[in-house]
Amino acid sequence: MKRLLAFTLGFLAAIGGFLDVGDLVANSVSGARFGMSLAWAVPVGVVGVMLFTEMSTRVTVVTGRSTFDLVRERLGARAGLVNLLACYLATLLTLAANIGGIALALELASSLHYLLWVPVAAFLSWLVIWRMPFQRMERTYGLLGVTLLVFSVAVWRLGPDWEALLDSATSFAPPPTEQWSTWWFYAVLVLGAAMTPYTVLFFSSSAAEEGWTTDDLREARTNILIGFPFGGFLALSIMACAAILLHPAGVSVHGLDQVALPAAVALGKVGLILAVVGFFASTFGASLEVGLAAGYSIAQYFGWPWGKAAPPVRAARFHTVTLLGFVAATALILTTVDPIKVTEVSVILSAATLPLTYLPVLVVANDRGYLGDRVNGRATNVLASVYLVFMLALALAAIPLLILTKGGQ
Amino acid sequence: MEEISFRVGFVVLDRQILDRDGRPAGKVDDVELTWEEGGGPPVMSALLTDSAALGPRISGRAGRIWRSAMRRLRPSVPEPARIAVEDVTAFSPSARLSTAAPEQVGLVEEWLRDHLIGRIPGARRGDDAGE
Repeated sequence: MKRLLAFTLGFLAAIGGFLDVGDLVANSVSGARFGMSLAWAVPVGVVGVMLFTEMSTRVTVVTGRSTFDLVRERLGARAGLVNLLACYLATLLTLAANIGGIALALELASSLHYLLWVPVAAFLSWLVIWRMPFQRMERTYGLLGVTLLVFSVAVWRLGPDWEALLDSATSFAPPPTEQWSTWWFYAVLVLGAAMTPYTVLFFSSSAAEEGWTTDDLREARTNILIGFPFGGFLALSIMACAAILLHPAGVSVHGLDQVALPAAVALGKVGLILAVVGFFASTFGASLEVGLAAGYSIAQYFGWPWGKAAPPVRAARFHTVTLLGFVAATALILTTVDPIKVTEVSVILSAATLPLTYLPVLVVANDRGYLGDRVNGRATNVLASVYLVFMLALALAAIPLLILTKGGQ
Repeated sequence: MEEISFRVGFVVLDRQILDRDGRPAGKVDDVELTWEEGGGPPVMSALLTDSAALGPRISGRAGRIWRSAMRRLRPSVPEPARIAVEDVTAFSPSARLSTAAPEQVGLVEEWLRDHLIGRIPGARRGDDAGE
């Protein structure tokens, strides 16, 4: 029974933990602008992140080594450092985006301007990292994030024309009024939001820190295999809500209030409350994971003691770097830049830096010197190679598309 | 000394260093080679670690910026920390030491512990205390 409970909690946490401010914004914005024509990007992204997370967790469980430890070892000091800086920058922007997301969710709940909430949001997330035990931290916010199921209920309550929705989802082309380049930009946004490198870094670092065994690996795999697709289902629900309600009305998404609108229309006050709770939980949970991931990457590159479970005095440099990350991200959001724009740029940068960690993990996952007989199977490798090409194309296209479309305008 | 040959770049460099108690003590940022009298190939005599050792390995502009930043931050310790090869019990997958790590490796860690992290309430409590 206890095991069943742990399993249920684990995979529910994986559902809620899958979504962050990037997913909320990317899916809602593209639903509002392009109907369901970008729906394909969600399952493609989910399979990619499942593949990547499974590989890096397996590598960590078998070798006991963390991702950036291996990145440094395989790429050497110089290429490893360039890799680290690029990934760190993307992670820091993602942290800023999620702190902004928490503040926007609190603004929705309180009507107080979000900038007043930014320092509170950052301080609370850091405090949870400082004081709250690992599992409780992951599960609390993961479980709360499941309230985002309100969007799935909302889709059904809005009573859409299912045939038209399906037509739009299978069209693989932008609506006639939109350009291809903008459509592709938002495709990268939806894909990048699903395949965030920090998720992988956080997951595998937890595995290293908690000393997962092959039994834990099996449990983690189940969580990934069931939890992530459910997370993708939530992402699709958010997109569908926007496609049904906002797209025909010509409403464009500039903040979390528009993201929540369909839930409020379909289910009234209860819908709005559940949506706001879900926004808060998913952005808060994400800011914990991203904040830690930023610290992990630097500590692992330089070989410092790191970790969340040990008393902070035993990992002083790691905790200093993590704290500084929160300070920098907060400062960025406090400059009054639009948090939604920061979110979009952070997702694009994540997509551009994705191969930097994916490739070393893929190489090690095929190295018998590290993994023995736990190397990638043939089917995994075929899929992983297809995704490598795909992620490289995505990374190369991400920044040119950002500039070309002026951020999707 | 027993002489074994292997590829330093692959087996030794950029590996994690773990001290006697298994605590992380930096990366193998560089190695020291010694030429013995009477010729012959050089022999690896020590592992070098710490930011002072990493800089010279990073070529180009990134390396120059790193080195000048390090000079400014800590002018008193220009030398990297040195770990004699005799103190290393294994190189791969991590460099394990039979001794404690050199004092210099922990300087920044200790400074931050005493002046910043240790002063924040709750810094001495681990996760498990609450469980």
